Amino acid sequence: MALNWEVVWEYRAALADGLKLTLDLSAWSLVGSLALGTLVGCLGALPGYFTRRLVAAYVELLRNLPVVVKLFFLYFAVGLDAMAAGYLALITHQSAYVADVIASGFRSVPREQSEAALVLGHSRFQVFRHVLLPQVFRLVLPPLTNQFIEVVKNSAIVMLVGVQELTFQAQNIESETFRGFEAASVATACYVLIALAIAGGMALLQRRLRLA
Amino acid sequence: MAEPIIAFAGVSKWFGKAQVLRDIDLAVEAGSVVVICGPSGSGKSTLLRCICGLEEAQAGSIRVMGRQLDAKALSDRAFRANIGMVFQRFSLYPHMKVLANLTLAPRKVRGLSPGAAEERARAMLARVGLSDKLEAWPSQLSGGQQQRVAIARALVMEPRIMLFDEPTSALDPEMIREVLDVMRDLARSGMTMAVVTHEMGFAREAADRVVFMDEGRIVEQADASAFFAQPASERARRFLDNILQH
Repeated sequence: MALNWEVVWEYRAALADGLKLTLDLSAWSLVGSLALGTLVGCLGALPGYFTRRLVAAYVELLRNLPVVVKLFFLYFAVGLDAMAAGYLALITHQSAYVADVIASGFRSVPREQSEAALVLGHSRFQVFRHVLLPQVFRLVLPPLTNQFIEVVKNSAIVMLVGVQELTFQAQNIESETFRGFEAASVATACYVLIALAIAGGMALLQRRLRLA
Repeated sequence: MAEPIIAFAGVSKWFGKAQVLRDIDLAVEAGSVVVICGPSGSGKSTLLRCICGLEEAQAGSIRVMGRQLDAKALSDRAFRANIGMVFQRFSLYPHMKVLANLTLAPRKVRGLSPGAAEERARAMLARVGLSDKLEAWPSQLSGGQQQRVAIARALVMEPRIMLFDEPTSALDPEMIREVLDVMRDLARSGMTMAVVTHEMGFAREAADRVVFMDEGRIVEQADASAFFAQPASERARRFLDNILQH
């Protein structure tokens, strides 16, 4: 089979648009799922049976629904526009995983940390803000890296409601020119580069925050 | 006579169905050193934790520094900060250097300026002999040094009572002495101390009173010299035999 890379060049504008949309979707969904997941994870770390059960229910429900089901529900049933449904599906889906990661981070900080701070006279909020949260963020950086990469990969599903992101454009090239291999190669390279950039950035952050 | 700085009257506590403190009566005079000993699971740590409010008793009354330890007293952070506590381990904040470990509470609880807090921190580090470790991370310190920093961190708050919950139990043998030396100095300075420990040498030397607990009860309490000369109870005699002759 003769490869024809010119087709990629021909479609460069479409691919660039697709990549831009993928980056846009990924970045905002990443920020959103981090914020929402951290909030839910912190609630799960609060004392109290009720909040813990509520958070567990949130995590289980959202984690057990395929992200595409969420997308279809938000797009077809709720009637959001395609981009909004995409953002919301990606954010809620990943926030469940992030919440779980954050909650387990809280569980792995030794009990003495908050006890020592409470005895010194700190308020519960101060203990949370100055003692627990900074430690939790250091602990969860490695598992969060995987979560962030997952967001980028999942972003491809929004093509199913017509958002013309990277995977959509690659498939479009295939259907218009039958050059599926070339198109898919470019899309693959883009996803790999984004994932590497995330992993690299997180590794850098980890080194900066490393416990000396 | 002045009111004892710590006074337990008929204190009981349960964890679920298990009773961990049974009808505890205890009086600690200001400026005295009390060592609490006994087999593991006898309620020693729980008793300490009741003094600083980490646990709440379910029956009886606890008065500390002349104040009933009720919900109102326990939510008074400035009051609580008058009681310092040193744990067995894991209590230094690993994400902060020694200086920040020492200045966080003075700044956030006492409202000191960073400069004033640092001045106090330096003084207390000097007191525990670690002036050169101001800029160190906790993970760069030995276990003994970490415990001394933990003591300094409690002292920075200028507490009136210091509680020690097995401060040397997690240490390598060669580091125990440096921690006990700091505690002996503190005892000589007139600090009120309640110490849960198995270090009977320390108890013999530094304690005024010894409290022996078993199964949530105070089995015996006596002046340290009397206790070590001849424990009154058979149970305490056996305990001392076991830990002095292993």
